[in-house]
Amino acid sequence: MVRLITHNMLACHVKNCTKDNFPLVFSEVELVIRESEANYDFLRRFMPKLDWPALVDTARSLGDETLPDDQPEEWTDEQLQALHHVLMEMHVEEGNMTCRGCGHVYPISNGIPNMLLAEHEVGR
Amino acid sequence: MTTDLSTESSPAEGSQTAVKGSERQNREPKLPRPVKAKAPPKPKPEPIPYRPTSNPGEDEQTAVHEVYEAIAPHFSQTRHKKPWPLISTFLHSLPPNSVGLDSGGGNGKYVPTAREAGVGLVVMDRSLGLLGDARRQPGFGLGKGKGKGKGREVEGDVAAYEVAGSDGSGECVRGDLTCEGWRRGVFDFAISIAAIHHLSTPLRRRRAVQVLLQPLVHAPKPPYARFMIYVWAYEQSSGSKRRMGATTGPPVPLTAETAARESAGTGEQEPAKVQDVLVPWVLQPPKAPRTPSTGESSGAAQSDEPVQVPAPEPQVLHRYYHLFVQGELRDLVVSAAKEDGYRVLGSTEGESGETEDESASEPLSSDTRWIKIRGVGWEADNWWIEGEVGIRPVSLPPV
Repeated sequence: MVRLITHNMLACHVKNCTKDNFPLVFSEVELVIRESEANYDFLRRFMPKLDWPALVDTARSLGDETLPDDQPEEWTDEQLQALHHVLMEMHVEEGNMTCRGCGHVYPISNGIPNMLLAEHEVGR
Repeated sequence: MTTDLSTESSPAEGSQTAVKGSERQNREPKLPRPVKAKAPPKPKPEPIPYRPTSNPGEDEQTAVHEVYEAIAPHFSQTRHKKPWPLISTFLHSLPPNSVGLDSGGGNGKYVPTAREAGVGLVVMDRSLGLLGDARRQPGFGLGKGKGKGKGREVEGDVAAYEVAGSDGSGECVRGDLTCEGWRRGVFDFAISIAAIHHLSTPLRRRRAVQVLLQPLVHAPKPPYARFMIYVWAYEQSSGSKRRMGATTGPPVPLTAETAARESAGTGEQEPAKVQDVLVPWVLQPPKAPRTPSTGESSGAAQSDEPVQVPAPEPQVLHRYYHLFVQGELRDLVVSAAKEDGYRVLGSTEGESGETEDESASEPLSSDTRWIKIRGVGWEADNWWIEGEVGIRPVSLPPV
């Protein structure tokens, strides 16, 4: 499944695509919400690695407006729950992820994003 | 590249330095021994020597990727066995709630182990057939209570999820070993188990190591991001079921002489050895009975070919392997890291003895990424390496 936590880690890797290669933009998305128990310790450990603006923009593009513009310094339980929902409960089953820099489209099928590139598209 | 023999762990030493602080599961490694009596195997396909062509990408497409897709269901049946002990130890030694990448992770064999250890694992593989299994597993980073939505056990049995069908949350990404589709600094650890040996040139293997290290957190202070790599060994034990002997000859005893000779060379071009082979996979017809494993735990967990049984015309497919000789895996990781600008910190046994290699004399001009090899060893017909990476800010003097 592509949860938004994974999406927040993926970037375009087409050869010479270094500008605006993150975050990839969702389109034609089939979104499934799977509720689960939050693990605040996990969320706190992952926070430093988050790209917050990318997460907020992506969540909003999928219709979730619960995250504040700026990453909170002190988290309330309510905010942690909202973060858990966005990162861990929103699953993209089908759709596309498009690079804003080069336009490459990474399709998602059966919950698996295809990050494979042809040999000539790969750097080095 | 030079190899410092004094820091090259023998298999036995390497195993003992692995995963410090959590050694209870380390088993005494069995040293490879020459095959004594040639108990002739039953009629069974033998490995075939293989010489990569000028198009390694195409070679791997036909001799690795297509084969895995074809054998995926069968392969998965053989890969839900218990995890290799050193990898389990490695995962359990990580700080809780770490998130890591399993590059070439196939059907997600180590996802359950990672869950037990309280860490998350993202599985990346080229084979959609194998990933289909990996994604049926529960997602990481969740609480221990019940899922509210469907009343499902979040901490429940993995098998239950597999039975339940395709509604798991196992994080899967389709990509190969040189897929650079990850932001930098997102993973606390990375593993690549029995995968890099499918790449058919030294350049591609180095690239795989570089790509594996790339998305790791490079921290200025502990906890540092860690990695572990397993590959098949050229030096097979006499009990090995891989049966490389027919083409590679009996395993060479690991004496000091042979070790020195191998380390002195590049490790890649030893003419007397056939390191590049096509290994047969006997694809049994569905429901074919299989002979039970023959007892020895580590061997059984890592046998790669099902035991031959009389069955109607099993299909034989061949996968490409590069078999690593002693010292080669360490050389590969070190040379790959150096090529990418890493400083190699000495892999000394004592905490106080941290030293840098010859590149230490280079001036520090910017933040310096470093790599440290924590252990190297041979276990049950495989070579493994474990290490960590970090960054030394300019403001700090070199060690």
